[in-house]
Amino acid sequence: MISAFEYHRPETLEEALQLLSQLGDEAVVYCGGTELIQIAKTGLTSFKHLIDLKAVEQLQGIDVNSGTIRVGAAVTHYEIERSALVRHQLESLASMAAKIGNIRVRCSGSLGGNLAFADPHSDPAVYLLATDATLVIVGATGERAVSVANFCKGAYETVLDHDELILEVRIPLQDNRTSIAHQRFTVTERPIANVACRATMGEGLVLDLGLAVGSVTDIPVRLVEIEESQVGRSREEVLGNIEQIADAASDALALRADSMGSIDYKRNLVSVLTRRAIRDLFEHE
Amino acid sequence: MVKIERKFAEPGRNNVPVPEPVGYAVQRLDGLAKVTGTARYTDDLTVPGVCFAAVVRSDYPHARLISIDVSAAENHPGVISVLTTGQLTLASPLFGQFMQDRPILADQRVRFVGEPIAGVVAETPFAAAEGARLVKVDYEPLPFVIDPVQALDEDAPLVHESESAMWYRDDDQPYDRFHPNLCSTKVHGWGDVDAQMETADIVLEDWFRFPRAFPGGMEQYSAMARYEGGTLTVWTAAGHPLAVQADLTRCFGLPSSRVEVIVPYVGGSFGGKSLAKIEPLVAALAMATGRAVKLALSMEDAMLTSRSSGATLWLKTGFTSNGRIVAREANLWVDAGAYADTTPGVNRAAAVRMNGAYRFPALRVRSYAVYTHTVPAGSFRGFGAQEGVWASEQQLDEAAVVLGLDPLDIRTDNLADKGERLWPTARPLDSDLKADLRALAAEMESEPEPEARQSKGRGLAMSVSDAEVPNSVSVSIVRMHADGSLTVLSGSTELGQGSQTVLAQIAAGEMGIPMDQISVVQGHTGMVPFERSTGASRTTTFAGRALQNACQDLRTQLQACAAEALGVLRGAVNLEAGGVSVDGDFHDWGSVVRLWFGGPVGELVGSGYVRKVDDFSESPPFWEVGCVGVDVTVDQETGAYRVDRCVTLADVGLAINPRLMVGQDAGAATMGMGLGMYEEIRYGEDGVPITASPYDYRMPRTSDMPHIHSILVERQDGVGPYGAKGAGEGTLNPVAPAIANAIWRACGVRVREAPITPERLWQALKDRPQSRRQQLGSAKEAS
Amino acid sequence: MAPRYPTIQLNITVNDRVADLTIQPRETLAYVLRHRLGLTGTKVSCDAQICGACTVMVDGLPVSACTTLAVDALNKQVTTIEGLVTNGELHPLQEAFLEHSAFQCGFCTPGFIVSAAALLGQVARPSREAILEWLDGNICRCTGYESIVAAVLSVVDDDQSAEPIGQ
Repeated sequence: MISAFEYHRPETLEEALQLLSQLGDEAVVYCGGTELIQIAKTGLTSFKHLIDLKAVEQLQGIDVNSGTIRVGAAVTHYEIERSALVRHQLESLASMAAKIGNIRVRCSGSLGGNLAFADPHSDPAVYLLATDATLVIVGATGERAVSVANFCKGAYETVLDHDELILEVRIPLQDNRTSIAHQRFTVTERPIANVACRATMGEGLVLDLGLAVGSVTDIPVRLVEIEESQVGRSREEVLGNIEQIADAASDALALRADSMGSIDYKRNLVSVLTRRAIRDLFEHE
Repeated sequence: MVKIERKFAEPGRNNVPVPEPVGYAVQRLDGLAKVTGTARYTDDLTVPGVCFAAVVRSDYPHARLISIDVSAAENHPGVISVLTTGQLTLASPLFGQFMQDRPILADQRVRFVGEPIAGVVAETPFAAAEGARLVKVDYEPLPFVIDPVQALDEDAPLVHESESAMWYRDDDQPYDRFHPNLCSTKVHGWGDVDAQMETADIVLEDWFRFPRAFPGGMEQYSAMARYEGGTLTVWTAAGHPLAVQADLTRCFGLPSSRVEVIVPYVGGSFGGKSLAKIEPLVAALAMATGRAVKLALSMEDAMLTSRSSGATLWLKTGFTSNGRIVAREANLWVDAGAYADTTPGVNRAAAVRMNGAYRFPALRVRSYAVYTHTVPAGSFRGFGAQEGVWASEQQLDEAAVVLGLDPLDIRTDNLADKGERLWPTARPLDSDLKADLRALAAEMESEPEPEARQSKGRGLAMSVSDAEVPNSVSVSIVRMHADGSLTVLSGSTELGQGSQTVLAQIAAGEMGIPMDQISVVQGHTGMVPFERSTGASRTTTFAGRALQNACQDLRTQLQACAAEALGVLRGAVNLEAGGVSVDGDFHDWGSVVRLWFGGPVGELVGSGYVRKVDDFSESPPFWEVGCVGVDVTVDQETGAYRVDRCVTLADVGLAINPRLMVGQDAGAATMGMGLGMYEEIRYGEDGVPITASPYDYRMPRTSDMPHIHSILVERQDGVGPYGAKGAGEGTLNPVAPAIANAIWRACGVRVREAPITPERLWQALKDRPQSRRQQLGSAKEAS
Repeated sequence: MAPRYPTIQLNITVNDRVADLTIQPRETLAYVLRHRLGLTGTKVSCDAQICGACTVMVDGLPVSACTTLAVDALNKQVTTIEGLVTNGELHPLQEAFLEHSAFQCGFCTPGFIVSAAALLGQVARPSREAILEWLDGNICRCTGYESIVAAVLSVVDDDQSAEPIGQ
């Protein structure tokens, strides 16, 4: 049973920010509620004020400019999944969004909400980490940009101050030399492990690589050493190294056992998903 | 794609005429209400002045209650009353059908996480829930035991203090040991097992585990109670309204006629809604407050209210080199949880059902139902069969592998024949099981055997259950109205299985009137006659036969009334479909009623009974048969796998409504996949259930769906109407072992602990011996 | 004593009928539909956005009424199972569910039908795969799903209906 609260529905960003600073940590922001309402029902969280951001125009919309795709924080997973713009410009983002939860979760849950909740079992987080995405955070004192890599501090913990919110997500648009793979393994709806990999090729060689692993640690992790070790290599070389890459990926992380799986099993999943993601990218032209 | 195949072996051999619409896939009577959202379930109902309850539950698996501070809750706005056990006025504070051992509210001790400690009654559901959060309980944690095998250790913490009163005896064989944590025991068998085992060429001996599971009807437990004018009325989502009524009469010292249990539409049971669950508490709160009280549990709380027992099994079977069974010895530890509920019955059934219909020259099964500090176990579709069949049907496959035999042959070579008695007092087998299993295998072979090098495999399994319920009595009433329409009164409950429609089809067939002239009233103890239970797949057989008898009684009365009204001898009145004819003049039933009463008024009432005589004198009343074959594909890297294809065969005597019948079988197959693959209520080391939530308890979804082919075998050889017999559980039991057998063929590992989750399979693959030969070698060594 | 909680005015349109309600902001859409508007066709089962029994459409999209605040429906069109019957005529999906016997206990049925109706509103002719994917978030414990998928497919394409059943 959700504890009683007062409801606020700002229609502009300014109003929203003003409410946030005015109400302080007695307020939470609401933008889909797929996670918030659940934990409020169980009594794990309670709040005196709920600030509903869905009417704030500035948090909506998907657009492209200067090599970046901008997704408003309040845009739902389903809007991303069905957006012609996203499908055309960044197909992998749309197909990642289409795998989240179930259709009802995707219709209410927002990208910003998913990131701000910082559930370790997040597909958007691992995807955006591999794609070098940036979050624009806005607060009373103005805007700041934070890379997805620096956004999560721990499980359910982010760098957001209580009077700040995510304005939008900016994902660098990939040119035709770049491809992105996203692999996940689930039994229930939430991923037990997920891996995202982005590779940019030039003249047959890896120019840039992003490899991120999620769900098996408190926050998703970029495996920079592995990325660097493969830059400059050919497609065939990367595929030849695939076992070492997969092993290195699973060894690089301090895993924790939980109800979803043992450490050994999660290590195996990271290794398998890493192999599959790399094959997705490198086995086809 | 569900494909249905109806197999009539030797049609007409039994020469039982089948009147229309019996045997036809007519639409459900409750269909329109269910697709339009107008079907009302318990939580959809309300009465004036209703208030709402919330339950304070134990956080500990075992603890002494030091104090319960209700002051803050009582002072919370909207809270009417906070009740603990001391404040309830009860004839008995304990309830239960097999044993009256479950407290309505905990008294001094809690014995499982989730046990109700206090009830909060408030004007709104919000205030009730807030009040419940304000109740402060001081516990003194006590040692606890979660595992049923460990619970029989000498120094195991005890679940109940007064052990002797807690032991349910359902047979009089001597037990080889006693422990205060024993809930009940069952010994089943015959012959000299030790001597026979010596003659075996190979002996297989292994441990198996089958999980505690959640029946998971989509409607969670909910009830509403009101005590007014000396009558207690309880609306509830219950499968057995009369069993609930019996508990309420005991708890409150009221006569049965003053306890009305009303069951509206029910959102599935699968055993979970057998017997009383939350009704005694809701009724107690209503009586204590003088208000109508409603309680609807969340899924989490429902998972803390009942679950299946699961079992740990040790199974040892000896075979000759050509695959004949020579002896079996088995021990089962059935996890009763903290209170008995139906476990003594499940325990008995598990001991018997695990052996199917195979011939055992010597057999000794000891089954121990053991108390643990976990949620009380109740019924689950299959009622003990799944647990044992999981072990037995895997071991048969293992023997086939060791001996180089075909999994089909080792089964048919050991199956008893139709007409054979499995033990001296058992009803002769009423099915041709070898033909059934061969029909299943033939259907499987219609597609090429999947190849192990593609990590694909095929498996099959079967189960044969004694569909036995003690005191299995049914009563039926039919009312022929003056307009010729008919009301059927039955104490069986429509849980979704379609009994309402099937009973209407039988009545329509018997009376020769259209379905739209018939209504079936169920689920109201104040109106409907006695029915032992809606369980053990017995409704079509028992309630159906009682209904046939009631229609027979009604027709006889109508014949006599027609003779009297028309002034002819009874012999001159010919009974026909839909009415009588006299001298070539047809009078439909309605006109007979009107003629006899002398106006457009009145009704004639027929009654029918089924008790343990005649066709029903032998036990079990019928054998419930299910055969299942599956093809699976395994992803050996992750241990994930899918069931690509599933063929089920049910030997049903006659499908009164084939569409409803295959609906049951497809649902059973899918539920069996859930149990085989995912579903398990796991406990942590702190005695708290880990997976008792909708997030962690994974039920089958559309993405799991295989191609399902349902075969119905209809030889009209049952004791039910027109040769029908019960079904709906049989095809569930073999699914999990069929999957395990298919996985063995696909990748050479044997997983003996269900569910075979991806992680368990991956672990087994990792630990896999170098070769199959090595694994077989170790199996042989065990002999 | 009646409890005092913050309240809010909610103007909500359900099945084309406008209601003006004073509610607590914490009330879920399922609570308002069931307790305040008497629309009990919307069922609550898992109460956790997993099972889909409480699926309703908000502006044509499926949401879990159990995990949606009623205030989310402000100025929006809500459609429940009761709203699919128009002028006494069943929705084609309701007819198809009857025809295919795509339910047993019926508790999940409103959620399945509303969810499928939302799908047909989004994708005119969904493939079998699209239907499986869309309905993967609705749980049915009775049927084993095939009859449900067949019912939805039959509305999409009459030629593609499931094999005939029974006699």
